[in-house]
Amino acid sequence: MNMDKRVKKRYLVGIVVIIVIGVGIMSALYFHQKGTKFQEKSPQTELQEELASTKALLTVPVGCIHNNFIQLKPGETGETYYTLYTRNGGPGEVSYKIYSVAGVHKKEEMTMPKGLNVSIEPSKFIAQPHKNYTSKITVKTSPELFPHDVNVSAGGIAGKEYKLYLQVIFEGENETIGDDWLRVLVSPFTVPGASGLYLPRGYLHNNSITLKPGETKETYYTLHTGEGGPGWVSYNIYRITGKVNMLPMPEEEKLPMPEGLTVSIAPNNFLARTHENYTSKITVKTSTELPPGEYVLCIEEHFDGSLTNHWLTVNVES
Amino acid sequence: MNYCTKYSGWAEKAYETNADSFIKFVAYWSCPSAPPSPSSDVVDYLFNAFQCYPSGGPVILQPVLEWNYAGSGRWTGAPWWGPDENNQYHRGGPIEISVGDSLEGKIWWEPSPQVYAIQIRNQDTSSTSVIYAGNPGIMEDVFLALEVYNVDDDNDVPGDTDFHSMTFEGDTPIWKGDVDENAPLSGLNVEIVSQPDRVILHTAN
Repeated sequence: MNMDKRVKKRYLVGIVVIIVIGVGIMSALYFHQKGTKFQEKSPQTELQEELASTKALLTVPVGCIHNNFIQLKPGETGETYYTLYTRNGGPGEVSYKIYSVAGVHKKEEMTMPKGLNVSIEPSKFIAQPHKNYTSKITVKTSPELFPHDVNVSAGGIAGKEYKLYLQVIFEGENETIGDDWLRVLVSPFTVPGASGLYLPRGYLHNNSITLKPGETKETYYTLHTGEGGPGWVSYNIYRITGKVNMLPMPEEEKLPMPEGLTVSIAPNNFLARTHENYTSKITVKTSTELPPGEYVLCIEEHFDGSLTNHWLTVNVES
Repeated sequence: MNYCTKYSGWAEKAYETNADSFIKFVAYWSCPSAPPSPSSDVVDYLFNAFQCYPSGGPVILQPVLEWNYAGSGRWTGAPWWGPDENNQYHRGGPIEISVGDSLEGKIWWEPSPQVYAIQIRNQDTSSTSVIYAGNPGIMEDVFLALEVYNVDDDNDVPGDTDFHSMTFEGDTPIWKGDVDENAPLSGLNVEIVSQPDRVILHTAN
């Protein structure tokens, strides 16, 4: 009898333990999912954040490396430049530190590879508001950085890339956006593709807009600068036939904007730095007199010497 | 900003960087005329390419038509990819190519043994070179490009290149053009003749 009671008790304890563990797991799953859901951002929130980030990038002190990619033969020395745009920042001491990291967007310091030497001059100075300060970055390599004999006729390893991080400290300025990365590719011969791994790229949030005469609608264009910059971004919007897709767009493909259709983009004509997103708002305004139909617009982007374009179709319904 | 007197970079390209994922890309083109009167250090590359974005940074896979690679003074073709996990770039064995030869540049996912393959084939001589890139990531972007090194005028670049009969598996691109106005070249023009199968990269030659 006593034995039975003990067995029953153990049995009950076991059930209780299982229930407690089960409830615990379910609660954990529930709260984890809830937490995940709360962490997810709505597209609207993301857009607001992008717009706020763009606004900050246009006002706070910024800086970046001019050429973020250098290709050198083993033993060669290369140079590039870094410019800080203080805007409202300063006066204050600016100091730069440059060191080896595992990759672009990584900040953890690694031992500088043997045979790679990098310096920046000046690396410390007092900066005044509304000034630009340019420093020279010198990268020295030794033959041991790429000890391979490239077999031109058989193929094999053809080059090795090193990544460096430049950290900026602008005393008294919490919002300086100036850190940047430099890639150094060491190879006896040129390597295709490598120079374009971080090219600027942009996208329209909508490829078409439908509205009625008299209505106004908005969409957005985001430029990710990659290794483009520092450079000026300018947008030019014009109407095209939509029949020929060439870049640059031939003059004969351009059409006058119809009366009653006004398109604007803001911000426009601004300085952009590397590895950032800049989102501009495109406003399409129509008057009641605008004839219904399809209007193809070309949004031409000039950035750091690069010309690209995107098409936006405006459908005006009767 | 360019502090060098000579230009190096992607002078013109067609691209799709807003797609989901590609698993195969085949492009055909004829080897264009060689640069009319190039300096000895000029190198020109023409390629179709996939790009993916693993955590270590972007990786490019490309069958490449090379002019004057390693100072050869002629056209060659080779598959390339990189950087790998050790930040190294790889080149497959080169094949001989002459002006006017029909080329096939192919990048595709091999389900077994789960690797990306990159191949360039000279259809006139049947020579082929292939290289395997492992599985660096999801191929999100596609490119067609003219990349140049050490050019200072139109004498340094090849003739027009007509990428045609292009096919894709996975996603399908909507090509957009891009011209680098920093390049000291005239006549650069990206003509998207028909989506997504034909794009011409024009030069002055």
